[in-house]
Parts: sequence; structure tokens; C-alpha cells
Amino acid sequence: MRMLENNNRKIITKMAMSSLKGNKPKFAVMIIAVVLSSFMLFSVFTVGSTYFKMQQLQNIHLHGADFDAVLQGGYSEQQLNRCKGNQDVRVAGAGGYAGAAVKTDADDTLHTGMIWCDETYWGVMMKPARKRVRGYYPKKENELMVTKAALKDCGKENLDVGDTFDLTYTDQNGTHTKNFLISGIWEGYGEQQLFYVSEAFYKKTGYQLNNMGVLHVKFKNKILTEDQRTKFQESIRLNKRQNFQFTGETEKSAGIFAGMAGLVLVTCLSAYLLIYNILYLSVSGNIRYYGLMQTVGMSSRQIRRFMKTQMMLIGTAGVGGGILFGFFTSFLVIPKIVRTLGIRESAIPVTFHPAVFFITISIAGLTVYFGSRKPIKTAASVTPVEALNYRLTSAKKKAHKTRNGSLIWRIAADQFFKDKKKTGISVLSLAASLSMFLCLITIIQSHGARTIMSNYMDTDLVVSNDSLMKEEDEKWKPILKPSLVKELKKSKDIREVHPLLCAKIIVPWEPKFSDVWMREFYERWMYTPYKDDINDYKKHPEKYYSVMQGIDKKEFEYLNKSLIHPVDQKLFESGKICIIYGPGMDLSGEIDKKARVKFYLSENKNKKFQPRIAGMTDDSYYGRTSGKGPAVIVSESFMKKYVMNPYISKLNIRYTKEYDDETEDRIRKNLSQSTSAKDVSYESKIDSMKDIQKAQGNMTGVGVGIALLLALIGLMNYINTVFGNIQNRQVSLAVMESVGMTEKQVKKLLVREGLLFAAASLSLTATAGLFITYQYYQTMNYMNIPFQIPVVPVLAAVSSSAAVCIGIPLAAYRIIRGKTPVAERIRGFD
Amino acid sequence: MESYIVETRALKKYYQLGTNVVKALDGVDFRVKDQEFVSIIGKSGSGKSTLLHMIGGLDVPTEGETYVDGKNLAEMNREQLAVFRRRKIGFIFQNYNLVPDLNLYENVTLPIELDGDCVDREFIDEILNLLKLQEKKEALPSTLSGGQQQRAAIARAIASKPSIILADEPTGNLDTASSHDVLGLLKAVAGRFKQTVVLITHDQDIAQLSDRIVHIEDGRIVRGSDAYVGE
Repeated sequence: MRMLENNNRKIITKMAMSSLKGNKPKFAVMIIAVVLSSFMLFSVFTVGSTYFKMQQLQNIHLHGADFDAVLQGGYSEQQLNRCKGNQDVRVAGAGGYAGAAVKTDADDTLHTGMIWCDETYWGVMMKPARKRVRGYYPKKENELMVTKAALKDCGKENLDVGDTFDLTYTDQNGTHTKNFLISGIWEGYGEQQLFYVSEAFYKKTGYQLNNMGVLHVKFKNKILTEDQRTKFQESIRLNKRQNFQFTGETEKSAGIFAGMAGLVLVTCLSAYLLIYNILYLSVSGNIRYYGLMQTVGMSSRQIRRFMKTQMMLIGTAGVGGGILFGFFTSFLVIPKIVRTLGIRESAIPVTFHPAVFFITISIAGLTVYFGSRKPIKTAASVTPVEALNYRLTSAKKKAHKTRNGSLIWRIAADQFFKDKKKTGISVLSLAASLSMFLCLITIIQSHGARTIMSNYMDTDLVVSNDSLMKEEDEKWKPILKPSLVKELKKSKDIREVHPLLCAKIIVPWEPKFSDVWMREFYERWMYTPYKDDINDYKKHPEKYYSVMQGIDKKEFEYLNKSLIHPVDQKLFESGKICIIYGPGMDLSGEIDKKARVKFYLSENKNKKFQPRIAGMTDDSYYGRTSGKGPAVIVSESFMKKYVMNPYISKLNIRYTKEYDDETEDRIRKNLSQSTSAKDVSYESKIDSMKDIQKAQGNMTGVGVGIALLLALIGLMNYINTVFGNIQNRQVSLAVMESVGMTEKQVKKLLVREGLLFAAASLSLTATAGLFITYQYYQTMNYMNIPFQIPVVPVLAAVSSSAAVCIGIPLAAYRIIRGKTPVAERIRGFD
Repeated sequence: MESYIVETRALKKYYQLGTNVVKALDGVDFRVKDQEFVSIIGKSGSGKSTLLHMIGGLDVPTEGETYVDGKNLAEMNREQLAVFRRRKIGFIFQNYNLVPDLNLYENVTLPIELDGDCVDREFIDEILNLLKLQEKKEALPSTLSGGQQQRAAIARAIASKPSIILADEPTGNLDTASSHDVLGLLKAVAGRFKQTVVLITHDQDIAQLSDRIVHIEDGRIVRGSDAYVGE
């Protein structure tokens, strides 16, 4: 027979509510824990997705278009159709090299290229990288889409849409001068020194898309596995000349996804630890109350329901509050802070996704459920008598040996190891936050504008004499003079100056090296066959001239380090051996180790040389644009012996202080006063850094925000553990005070306890955390930047966590103890 | 004039409870001679524990002065009071108040170690033998019986050889047999080490073991046959 059920749900809910109201401070702490956890989850998801969106945007800005892979070295119609027809491909846009600007009436050393691109590339893929477009993409042969930078390079910065100007340019068919109409001007990110031309223009340049075309591919899926990438590459059947490359971030997409999943996992773990820790402490501290409830007739089932109702109320209030708090922070506070820092609001569009609400509520809800399961079980299973005698101490140990050594350290260690689970949770949480901070800060810092530049370019400024690029050597001018080098070297703000000396040379035809060189050069870079020019080369080698370049000892050391097989310095200094500059060329199988390059000086045919070729470099610093022969790199001292007044083609300058704006301004100002100032160009680390900074927007700020949020949760966990711990020990501490422990000694004890927490968390971070950071870093390191721990932020994090670990117990003790006399605190037991 | 090891003058301790003022001590003049064993007897809430806490420097009076071994406690700061306590006073509480994470031996030597002194192991062993605790040296408090814990508390109270032992209902949580056992030992030990004992109890029988009994009611000392009050 089934007894009639008594509906006692109402009274249980009422009791749960009144218990919450009656114990406001205690439950407020629990609600705050849930609020903080939900806040952290919500913020990490929102700010995190914003961060990754911004990172994507940065890549679009850096590339100047939105694509995942690029096919260079030409493409066939078939390949284009195969890409477009592939179900994994969202879009495929094409473009092609259409020539180079040579001169205008305002400047005769131009650096601007000419490009044609199809509607997809211009209209779809480049669109996210553009900020503004006026006018339209060129339709007629004489129309150009320009940028301010390209116009400035031509000395035509004042022109606008609708204006015309005369431009001399080269293409496959030779050099031409034409009057162009500016059909449009665009502003945005990516390569700026370009003129975009019409299809009509392109068709007349003589270039073929299957030789000089470039195909950009954007895939539907953001994550591409290695297998998928290989399959796609195979599907488009590349020929020997073609080069298909995925962008760094696409290659690492699976790793990046794993990294993001890891971040979410740690966030969830931290949230779980915080909620669990607080619920566990709170329920354990309340066990006597549940015992009392049982003595007045509440059944275990009712206690369970009573607690579940309480948890549900706490969970609802906490999760709701957390989401509101997170919403407020993500959408209102972050943009405000960023705006105060002087960054435009539009640079930080906080990404919002409805799934974030759902995920946050689910995870926080599940955490409250799982976090309260064990405490509820304990509360329901404890007998009333047990509950009355319940103490939050580990009674597992019955005795221990009397120990020697400092009493304070011994007690501190006892406390640390007393409840291993609780200590473990706190240490793990602190270490998780610290590790996440370490991981994020390492990634953020290494991908910061300065770091990227420092790895990509290890010099501050390269000044080039562009007049040396002209075909006719009577137009070569000695703009960079030895006196300038001397002057620069004297400056305190400049650490190093390395001139790159240059003299025109003729490399006559001979079968062993120059013939091999030309054959390879034509195959790689020319669109006319070598066999058409070989006889002309044999007869008129001066038309196929090149340069001898002299480098100083420091420059040699740098270059030698970059070679696969470093060369002998003494032989290099004496001029017996040389290094050849070969852009993208591989002669290793073609010439033997004894091969020599035979040449003579253009100014004096009698000065003949034949150094052995000891190495090859394709560092573009040693490259030049005109001349087909090999650039021969020799030592400065050797060159000076035979060339009376060599030109200085480049100056490689390093400042005493990196990124020294003032020094750079001074150098530029000095050179701008020269009559040939237009023939001087600069490659500056500061400029490049600014470009990257511009492209990055506020990525660093948002990343640091996430790291700080995680640090906050670790901190909360620790604060909670410490407060709980000191609360539970206040009688014990008061007893020790009653038998003569001074306040100083109590503080010493708490400091030592904090130090043990700090040491454990930091050790865990320095071992496991560092290992995970390294692994994450490598999976997410699509720019191949060397792993380097940012010293200042990490030291700051270490010292602040140590300070926090020490400060929190002291503060907790101060707050809990208040001004209550020892006598009253001892009574706390009863 | 006779000198006293403990002396309180017009000692008052008032508590504010809502709108009411509770007078826990209301002008107490109390004196104890060196090596004397005095019992303070009174009902629950009469102020006897408060008086003991004032003598031990565990609480601060609202008014009045407390002299212990010639020192005015009001002139000491917290730090000095703590040092004073561990050198001059041994406490025994009703709840034993042993530190749960330290074993019995460590609990006993705690005041000595806090003072930075070397532990006189022979002396401690002698006390433990006397209190029949030698076998339990390494046991944690939670594994000891009430009687054993109280004996451990006595051992801790006398370990640093203080001049005064303040015992707050030391038998409150013990059965009759254990109570007599503990008090007998306390008296014996205090006699042996020439210590003054102030014992709080509400049990007339236990109070009979002392040299002198002082009655306290509503925060005031009620004159006893051999009390020094108002002399």
C-alpha cells in the first residue's frame, strides 16, 4: 500500500529561501563565486572570439586580402576552374603582374608595380582590407586604380580621381609612356605601392597568366587538416614552376583550434574549481545546521531537495549576474578603456554570438550541479550526532612524530599539506591562471608589432641609393658618400653603420659558370628563352652586366651565419673566394665546388678577377633590379684595393636605442636636403612596426584582457581558500595567541603559508605550465617566430602572484580577526 | 604591606547588547598571593571567566587596572601582552583548546618554542610522566580522550614554568572520576613547581580543594570568609 504523499515542496522551497535571506553574507560569497565564474566564462568567450576575429582581421590587413592559400608562378584556366569548382573552396580570385612604373616627369626612380586582378579578387577578397574607395576599378586601357602612396612615389601626390598624368612603365614588350586617367583611389591595408590596371591594359603587356599569374583561394572551412591541404594541393596538379602555399594561419588552423579549445577548457576548469571550492567549504561549514534539521525531523531526501533548491537559487542569481556583468564589461567597459587609450572605437568591435549565452549558462549550471553534488551527499548522509561534532579538519592522521626545525615553518607546512585536496585545487587553479597568462602573454608579445619586426628585420634602417638601379650607368650618382658614413659613425645615437659598396662588373660568357648561371636565371626569371640571347651575350657581355659588392667584417659575419655552409673568413678577406647572390636560384647541382666566377671591372677591362664561388645567398638585401649577371659579394678591403671610388649602394644602420624615432628623423632630414633626395629610399623598422601596429588594431589589449580575467579567477579561488582556511582556524590561531604567540609570529606564519602556495603554484607553472605554453605556442605559431618568454610581464606576474599569495592571508586574518579580543575568538568554538 | 602576584583595581567590563548594557564585571577588586590556589566560584554568566581573561590579558577592561607580577597590563601593547602571557601565565581552558595539527608533545612545548627557547626535554618528560601522558606523546589531540586532552592542556600550561596558572572550568567537560584525577594532578604539579593557581568553577566540591574561595555574582565579588576583598 502506498502512503499518501505529503506535498512538502512548498515548505522546503520556503525554507531554502529564508535560509538564503537569513545567511546573506555566507550565500553572498557563494553567489559572487558563481557570478565571477559565469562572468569569466562569458568574458572569455566574448572577448576571446573578439580577439580571434581581430587576429583574422590582422592577417587580412597584413596580406591586403582575405585568402587562405596562394598559387604563384602562373596558373592555367583549368586550374582556375578546378579551384572554383572545388566544393571546399568559397572563392578563388586571380591577378597578374602587369609591369612596373619607371618614371614620371616628377621622379625617375619609381618603386611602384602594376597589377591586374579579376572581379573576385578586387571585389570580394580585397574588400575587407580596404577602408575607402573612390571611383571605380579600371575598365579602359589607360585607367588606373591608385593609392596615395603610389602617387607619392611618382611625385604626383596632389592628383585625384579624374586627373591624368604621363607615366613611363615597362612590361614584357619594353618601355612605354602613356597618359593615364586615375579612375579610382583606395585606402586600406596591404601593399600600397601598386597601380591596379584594367584587363584591357593587361592583355597588351605581353605577360601571360600561366607564367606571371597569381591565384588566391579562400576555403569554406576555417580549420584545414594537413590531409585536406595535401589533397587540395594534389587536386590542382602543379607544374614545376608553380608554387602553392597556404598562409601561415591556415597551415596552423588545426593547432589554433586546439589552442582555443585548451583555453576554453582551462577557463571551465578554473570556474569549476572556484564554484566547487566555495560550495564545499560552505556546506562543510554548515553541516551542523543540517544535522540540526535532521534532529527536528527533516529526512535525507528533504535535505537533498532543500540544498538543491538553494543551489538552484544561487545558480540562477549567479549565472544571471555573471552574464550581465560580463555583458557590461565586454560591451561597455572594454571599448571605453580602449577609447581612453586613444584607439578609435571602431577598431574594437566586440563580437557577440548568441551561442555564448547558451554555453555560459550550460557550463556554469553544470559546474554548480557537479560542484554541489559531493557536499550535498555529505550533508544528507551525516547523522545528527556526527554533524554536531563535525570539524573541518582532516582526522585521517592519528599521530605524527615530533619534528625539529622552525616551529613557524612546521605549522605552515602542516597547514599546506593538511587538506591536500583543497590545497591542490587552489594551487592548480593559481597555476592554471598563471600558465594561461604565461601562454597568452608569450603569444601576444611574440606577435606584437615590435617582436615581429625584430625577428623579421634585424637592422633599424636601410638607406638605398636608387640611382644605381638605372640601366644607364652614366645616371648612377654617388649619393651616399664616405663622408656621410663617417659622420653617422660618429653619432652617439648610432651603434653601427655598414656600407654596401658597389661597382659595375662584366661577367663574360664561359661554359663552366656564367653559362650555367644565365641558363638558370632565364629559366627562373625571364620569359624569353636563353637560347635566343646566348649569342648576343657572348658578343656583348657588357649588356648583361652585374655588380661586385663589398661588405665589411661585421656584415660578413652576419651573412656567413646565414649560409648553409659558412665560408672561410681569411680567404674571403683576401678575395680568393666570393659569395654569389642568386634570387631564388639553386645552382648546387649545376656547379662544382671549384667553380669560379670570372669578371672584370666595367671601368677598366684590364682588372680581371676570378674568385672561387664559396657560397650563395638569396637575401634580398644584396639584390639589385637591373643587370642579369650574378652579383659577386667580396670583402670591403679587397674591393677597395682595386676600385678607386666604389659607389655605396646601401647603408645598413643600427641605432644605439632600438626604434629611435629622433635619430631616424635626423638621418632622413639630413638626406632629404641632398639634390638627389628623390633617388634615396628607406626601409625602416619603425615604419614596418607602425604598419603592423595599424594592422593589429587592439589585438594586444584584448589578449591581455583575457589573461587578466583568468588571473582574476585564480586569485578568487585562492582568496576563497585562504579565507575559508583562516575562518576555520581562527580558534586555533586564537589559542596559539593565548599561549603566547605574538601578532608578529602569526603574521610570519601566514606569510610562510602564502609563500608555500606561491612556490607550489609557480613551480607548477614553471614546469607543466611552461611545457604546455611551449606546445601551444608551437601549434599556434604560424608566423614562425622564435619562442621567447617575455621577461618583464612574467617577472611582474611572478612577483605580483607572490605578493598576492602573501598579502591575501594577512588581509584575511586582519579582516576575520578584526578588533575582537583573544578571549572572544577562543569562544568561537562554542 | 603584603605584595600580591595578581591584583585588580575597580575592574569593569561592560558590553553593549542592542540598547542594553551588560555589566560582566562591575568594579572588581581582587588579589591573589604568590603560590596561592584560589577558586572563583559563581553561576553561569556571573563574570568569572571574564575576570580570568582580564587577568590573563586576553581581554581589555572598560575601566580599572590589572596588575600581574607587579606589571600593569593596561600599559602593555598586544605584542608585549603575548610575550608576557607565554612567560608568566599558563592557561587551561574548559575546551582544552589544543592546536589540532600539532601532536601532544608539540602542543606542550608550543609556548617555549614560541619564545625561541630550547626545549628542556627532561623537564617536559618529567611533566608528561607526572600527568601520565608519556605514551601519548605523538598522538594528535583528536585521538585523545577528554581527560587526556585536559591533562595535556595542564602540561602545556606549566611547561614554560609560568608563575601563574589560570584554569577556566578545566573539569567542565569531564566525568567525575576524570575531574578529580585532573584536579589532583593540577594541585600536585602547581605545588611542586611553586605556582599560583586561579581556578574557575561552578562546582562547590571542586572549589573545596583550593586554599581560598571567592564568590562572584553579577560581576561583583561577594565577600568570602577568607577573602582579601576590601581589606
